[in-house]
Order: sequence, then structure tokens, then C-alpha cells
Amino acid sequence: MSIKAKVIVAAVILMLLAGVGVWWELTRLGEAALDVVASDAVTDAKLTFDNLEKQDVQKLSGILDVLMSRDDLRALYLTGDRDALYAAASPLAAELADKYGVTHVYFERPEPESTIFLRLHGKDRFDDRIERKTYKLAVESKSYGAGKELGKTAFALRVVHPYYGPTGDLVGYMEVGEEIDHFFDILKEQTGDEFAMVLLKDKLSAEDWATMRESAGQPNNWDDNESVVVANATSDEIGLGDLETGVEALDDRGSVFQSKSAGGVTTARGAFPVYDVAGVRVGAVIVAHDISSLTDELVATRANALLLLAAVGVVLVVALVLALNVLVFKRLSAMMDKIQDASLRLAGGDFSEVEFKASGNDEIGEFERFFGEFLKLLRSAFQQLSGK
Amino acid sequence: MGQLSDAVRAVEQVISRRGLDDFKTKGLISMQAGFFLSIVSPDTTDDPERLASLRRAAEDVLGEKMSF
Repeated sequence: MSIKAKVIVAAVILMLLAGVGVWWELTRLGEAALDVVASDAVTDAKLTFDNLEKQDVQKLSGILDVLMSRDDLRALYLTGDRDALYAAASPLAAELADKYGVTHVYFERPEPESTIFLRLHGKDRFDDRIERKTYKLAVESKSYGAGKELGKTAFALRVVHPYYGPTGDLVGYMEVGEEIDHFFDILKEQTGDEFAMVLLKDKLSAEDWATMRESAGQPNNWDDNESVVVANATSDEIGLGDLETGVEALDDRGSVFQSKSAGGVTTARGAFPVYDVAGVRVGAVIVAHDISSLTDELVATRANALLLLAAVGVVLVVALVLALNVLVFKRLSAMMDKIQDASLRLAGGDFSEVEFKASGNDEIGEFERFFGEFLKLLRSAFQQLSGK
Repeated sequence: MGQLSDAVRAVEQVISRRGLDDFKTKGLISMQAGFFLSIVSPDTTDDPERLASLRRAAEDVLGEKMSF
């Protein structure tokens, strides 16, 4: 193989290696960008979720303040007439449920008794002891106790506040609450992403779960997964992804899972843990962010970059070969012809002086000068040997 | 003695007859034969091995059968 061919092969191999390198680097950068996008989606969802909780705590606190300011309700509570209190407050509870999504309203007896006096959403159940953390927080702080609490089947956001009599003495507590299912509709509307909330089974009752699903006309999904059960999902396609390895493994700020492609749609997925008001990790919210357009753009960018690289590579290889041709190969070829001709003539007995001019001031020129001198020496030696 | 010199003369005659470049052709044959044709004289000692290599080289370069 000629040196020229070897140079071309080496240049082509280098260009191919550069192409592989660029492909690898673009793929790595693309994956890093997708990770950032997925991470941002999870972070944004967590922030939005937390903000929704804060906003709704404020909303419920405001509603609670209005309820507690109603003297007529207070008077009925103080008489201990549960039916009269229910009759007076239940229209208001219905309005609150309709307008503000308030699903729970309680009148609660103070410590140390700490029992339910009246549930406006379930009049027939009362006198049961209150063990909820939000109630205990309100008892301890004599102020608002607020947060998410996991019941037997679902999360409820609750706000509890001490209930004072006309003379300012503590007569009980009042509590309002709502289920947080609507969080996911708002999250979906705001971000365009899909969400699912899973709850740890060991924090729930399988029996209550089955009853709740049946009464909601939904199939019982308790056995669908090993350690968690899907409580809410904005899409059936979301899947648990890497969450199957455990909610405990999730980073507090959220973790990103492997992206998933199905039906031409690629989704970046991740999850953040959900804590109850006591700070116990009880589940997680899975986020699925559509990155199809981004992955398509990355593929196109990668292809364009490679095409550009190939075009630049071809131009560079051609330019390199042309330059080498002028600077090296043509001169080497001329030098070889000159050396062969002079050598053959000398070997054939031509002892006439042949001028061996250097074609440049470089390695080739230096060799031509050197060979010219050497040829002179040979010529002189042969002349002596042949006696001419 | 003189056999190798005669062979060289025979080669020179062929080159001359065919109008070939004298020095270049002899140079080519010298390179292939492994010795300089120009330093062969009638006094040069005969060497069957050199004669054989001259024949091979001449036949190869000139492309015709040599009779020496």
C-alpha cells in the first residue's frame, strides 16, 4: 500500500473515530439533558404539590375561622344538642363541600376527653376518641394543627383549631378537612404531566381498601403491587417504574427513573416521597413528563451533527490529501524518478555529471542534496574501477 | 577468459540494434545481474554463475533469448 493510500485510510479511520466520539458525546449530553428535564419535572411537581397543600391549609384555616365565628353554632355546641347543631350546620357543610371541596367538618370535645361530638359528614358516628396528629398538634399548641393525614384508605388534609366559648374558655376543637384527590387534577392542568400517588400498604387496611374501592365502583387493586397500592392516577399508563424497588429508596427532593417509550411517546419519570403530618413517609407521587419532542429533537440534532461532521471530514481529508500531494507526494515521486534515473545511468556506465538540485529546504530537499553528493562519490569510484 | 566480456558485448549489440537507451538499459541489467556491466573487460575472469545471472537479467530486461 502506498504512503498516500495509508494516509487516506488513517484519515478516514480518524474521521470515523471522531464520528463515534461525537455520537457518544452527543448521546451522553442528550441523556444528561433528559435527566435534567426529568429532575426539573419532579422538582416542579413537588413544589406545586407542596404549594397546593399550603394554599389549601390557608383555605381550610379561613373556612375554620368563619365557622368558629358563628355564635349560633357555638351556642348549640355548648348546649350539647347534637341534632340541633347538625340541623343548623349541615346546610353550611353541604355548601362548603360544594364550593370548596370541604369533605370533613367536626366538632370535637377538648382534652382530656378528646372525643368527637359531631361529624357533619357522618352524624351517626360520634364519641370515638381522637388520635389524629393534627388534633394533638392543636391541643399542644393551642393554635392551628394542620397537615395531611393518612386515613384507612386515603389522604385527607386537615386543619384543627381550639374552640373557645363566649368567655374565652376552651370548650373544644373544630376541624375541617378535604381529600387531596383534586391536587392531581390541578397538577396535571398546570404542568401537562401525568401523576399517580401510591401509598404504602403497611399504612393501610386491605379490608377497608377493598370496601372503599367497591363503594367507588372501582376494581380492587390491592394486589397489583407488592408493597404499595395506587391511590390516584391521572393516567392508567403511568406505571410504577423504579418505584417497585421501594418508596424508602426515594430521595427527599425526588428521584428520577429510567425514561419509558411506548406507542411513539417517551416519558421521563420520577417520584417524590409523601409524608404525613407526623413526618412519616407514607407513599410517593409518581411524575410522568412527556419528553417525546425533546428526544426527537435530540435524535435530529445528533444526526445533523454527524452529517456536518461527515461533510467537514470529507473536505478535510480531501484538503489534507491535496496538500500532502503538493508538499510531499509529488516531490517524493519526482525525487524517486530522479534517483532511479541517475542510479540506472550510473550503473549503466554513464559517468557524466548529473545535477541533483534540492527541491526545497526541508527533509526531502536535504535527502536530495545528500544523495547528489553520494552519487558524485559513487561516480568517481566507478570511473576509477572501469578505468574510463 | 573473455566469455563474460563477449556476453556483455552481445548485450550491447542488442541494445544498439533496438535503439534502446544504452546507459539506462545497461544499468537495469546490471542491477538485476548484480554486477556492473561497464567494468567487465576482456581480462575479467570467467564466472559461470555471473554469466548465468547476466543471461537471466538480459533476457528479462530485453525480452529476447540470449545465445551466450
